[in-house]
Amino acid sequence: MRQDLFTSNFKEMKKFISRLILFFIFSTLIYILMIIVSGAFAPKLLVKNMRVGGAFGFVGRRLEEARQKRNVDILVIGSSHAYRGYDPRIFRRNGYDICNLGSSAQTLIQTEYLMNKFSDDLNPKFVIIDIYPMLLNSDGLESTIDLVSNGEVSFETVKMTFNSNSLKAYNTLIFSSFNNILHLKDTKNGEFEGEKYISGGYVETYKNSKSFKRREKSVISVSDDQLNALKRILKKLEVEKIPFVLVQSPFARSNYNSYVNNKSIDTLLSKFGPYYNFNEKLNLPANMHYDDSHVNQYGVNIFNKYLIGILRKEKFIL
Amino acid sequence: MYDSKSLVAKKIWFWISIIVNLGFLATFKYFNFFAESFADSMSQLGLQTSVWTLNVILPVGISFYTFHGLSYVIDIYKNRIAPERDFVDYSLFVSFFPLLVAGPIERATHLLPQIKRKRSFNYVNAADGLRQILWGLFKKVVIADNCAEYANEIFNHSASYSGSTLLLGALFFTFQIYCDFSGYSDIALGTARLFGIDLLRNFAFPYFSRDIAEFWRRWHISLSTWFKDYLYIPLGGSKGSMWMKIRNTFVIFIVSGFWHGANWTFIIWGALNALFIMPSIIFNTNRNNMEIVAKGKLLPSVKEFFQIIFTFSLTILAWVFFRAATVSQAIQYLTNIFSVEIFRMPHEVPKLVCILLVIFMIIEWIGREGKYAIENFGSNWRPIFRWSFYSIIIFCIGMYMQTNETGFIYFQF
Repeated sequence: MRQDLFTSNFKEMKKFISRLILFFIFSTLIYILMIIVSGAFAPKLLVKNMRVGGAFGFVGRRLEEARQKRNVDILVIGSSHAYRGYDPRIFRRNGYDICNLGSSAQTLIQTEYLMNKFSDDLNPKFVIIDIYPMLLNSDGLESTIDLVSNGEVSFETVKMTFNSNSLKAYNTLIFSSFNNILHLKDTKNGEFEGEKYISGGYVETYKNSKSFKRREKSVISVSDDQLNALKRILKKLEVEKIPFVLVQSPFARSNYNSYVNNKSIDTLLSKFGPYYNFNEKLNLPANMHYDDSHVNQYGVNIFNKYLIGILRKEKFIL
Repeated sequence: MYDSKSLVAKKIWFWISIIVNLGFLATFKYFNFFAESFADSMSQLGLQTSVWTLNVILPVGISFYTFHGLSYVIDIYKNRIAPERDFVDYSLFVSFFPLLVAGPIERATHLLPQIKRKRSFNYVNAADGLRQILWGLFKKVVIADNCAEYANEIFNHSASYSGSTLLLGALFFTFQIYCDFSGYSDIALGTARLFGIDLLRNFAFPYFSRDIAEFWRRWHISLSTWFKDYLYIPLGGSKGSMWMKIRNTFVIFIVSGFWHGANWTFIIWGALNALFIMPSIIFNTNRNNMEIVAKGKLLPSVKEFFQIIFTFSLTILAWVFFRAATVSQAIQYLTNIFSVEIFRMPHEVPKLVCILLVIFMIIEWIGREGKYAIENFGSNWRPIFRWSFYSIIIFCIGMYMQTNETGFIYFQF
């Protein structure tokens, strides 16, 4: 009797597990198919946990351009502060060819990935690493999705996606992987009102937010993962004998002053090498800010001239 | 208690058990409420009192396992079951993991025999369990959590929204609480079925009810029947005079409200439901709608349709009290809904959530004769189509689930 019960249980369970495995394979295929179909054809309204290119910051176009470039004078890398804060036209007028590898909410983990991927070909003479301290504790999810949604699928981006362990990142990765092969949707050439892509990786905007949101006082925290990524980036630059500076580009006073430990962040970052906090050096008026985290073209004009002056004075660039 | 020779001794043991069970619940859940209410009423009389309150975290699911324990004790006292001598089996009955934190509230008479029985793995049951888990998951992470995003925003900033937006907020909360709690129950029932255990059904498409009495036969069934069996009937039920019936109805609804939490909002929510059910009690029509609406038909009749809409509107009204932080917020919320502002366009209509809600309600309507909506959905289809249907649900979970962590509402009870 007991033996019969065991045998019938075993048969039922075997059937259950084998059907479950089959269903798992079947539903995975359907899931991938649905992701591809909705990414390619569904209206934006029906796409939630996935990004299909067209993200702010023209990252697709920037990376496309970076792939073609060789031997630049200056490489700028960082978050949106990088692609909104360093105008190649101003640098060009001063005799420097720059390449910008910024992406939205890019943390040092993604910076490391982009450096590893592009620095050999770009072969920069000098590197500006823009650090927005508020991202020093970020998981970098937004940036990972930004990179993946704009067609960057490689072993490293897959690794970053798995590290982020986010459904949105997984869905975006699935679509991008197939989109790269099937070319179902152009994810690189989006246009955004009031924003213009400038060759060299910069995004020009004259937009100005009249009022900034009130921010509560808070503390910037720093994760070990981000600091370790920074250490690895700097080690690589040291090995390749590429000089660098760490820069905190300017943003709205109300935002900057809402953080109570700016000084300790300055102390921490200056331990890694030459570091300039332009929030302590420049006080740009409200009309020079795109929003409370970024400057607009008017602000960039002043910031870039000031920065080039310092880099020359300190003989980082000739 | 069971072995007591005299009735007096039996009664003493019975009341000790009841007091111990309720004592834990009262201490953890209601002590602060009574202490603060006492201080408030003293200050109304001009007497300032400084009350001592407990600063402890409410144990998860305390209301649920207290009621498990109570039903066990009462059933032994009433000689419906013999006491369980096996400590492991008894512990499993009280703390069976799928129902530990948010029910369904099981009865010893139903669950203990299943625990003691030798179980064998059954393919059909296990597949059905997985199907129910899938549907519960969809309800929770897609419907409830997406509704929660808007309902929370609107309820938390209700003073700054127009009447129409507030109405939308109340509607979203109505779906949130249903899908959150019934989604949990589906997951619990499905998980238990994988282990060969059938738990009590907790929801039976309550929003398709034609009157409030029917709604309460279909909403949180395990709690409603618990109160009916262990409170309403012992109080005399519907056997006595009309006054008795009215009193007993109010008692169980107010206690049910209080069971949800130590807050006047829950008590008013309970009282409001008692008020809504009164016409059915007075005119003795509370057992008019026992079967699911439009059984065997595609659509309801016009009369049934309007009955459903009317009942649904009443439940929305009551949920405002359930969700609001205070009674005054709930009253202000409802006052603002019933103002001229209701004719203004809502602040923001989340189109995707509305589309998901419509699809969800269509599936619920089609599947309303089953134990849960997709139980028999496509049962006569070819397996590939049925599997495709389940896969699309999985896709919807992946594509539309709310990725911000949102806890289950009933975990707080």
